[in-house]
Amino acid sequence: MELRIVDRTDALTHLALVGKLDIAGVQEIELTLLSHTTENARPTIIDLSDVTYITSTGIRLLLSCAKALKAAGMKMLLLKPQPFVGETLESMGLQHAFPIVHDYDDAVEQLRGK
Amino acid sequence: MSDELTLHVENRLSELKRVNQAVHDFLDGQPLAPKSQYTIHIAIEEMITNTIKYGYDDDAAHEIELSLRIAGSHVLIRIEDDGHEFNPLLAEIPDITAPIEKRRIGGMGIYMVRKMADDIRYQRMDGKNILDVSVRLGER
Repeated sequence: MELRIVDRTDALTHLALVGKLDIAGVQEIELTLLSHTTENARPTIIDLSDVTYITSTGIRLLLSCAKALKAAGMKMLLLKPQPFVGETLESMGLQHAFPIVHDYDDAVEQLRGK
Repeated sequence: MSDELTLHVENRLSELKRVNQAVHDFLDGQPLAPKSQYTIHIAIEEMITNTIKYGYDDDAAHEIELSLRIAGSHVLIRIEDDGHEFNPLLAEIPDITAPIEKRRIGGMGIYMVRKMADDIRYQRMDGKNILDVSVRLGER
């Protein structure tokens, strides 16, 4: 699992995850990903377009990030999950916790909104 | 191509890589829908992880037996362990409609398997937990 910084400005942080978000994948990126939610926290896009697989450990990490950002008054959303990953996220009700969107411009607009 | 796979897995998370590879190799070439393959991997990883992390009350080495079998239109998965008695079907169902402030971050592994699999059954026999999970081969 790889974490890429796509963009990081005063307005937002756009991170992309690549690979499998299973136990091993989470261990590889967890500390770095969480640091983005605590140090100079910004409204955050987590791009899942290159994530092929997600387990409950991965979902747990996403929820932890969202909680940390919420505590800092910041929004988080997920962008473009692949079909099976998206179905898993929705069956676990993550759309009730934060937005899951499929278009970058929509993502930016949602992060700008209240 | 074999219709059965049996693995003896030690109760260490580092075993998951070997398990995933063996399951992948077994499923390769089977007439299996991509979503079913995905579900099988998730179910096995979630249930074995759960057993390794929470199933034992000591630090000793234990063996978990994983078997897969193609039976008609389904893949039958059996996970057998000698951990303390635990019926995942009785585990608390998380509130998945909660907003982020109230959302628990854990407790979803078992729920994921219960939602994704076609059938899941538990029994306790001769001091062992036996979990049977069924996933159909084709698209739902």
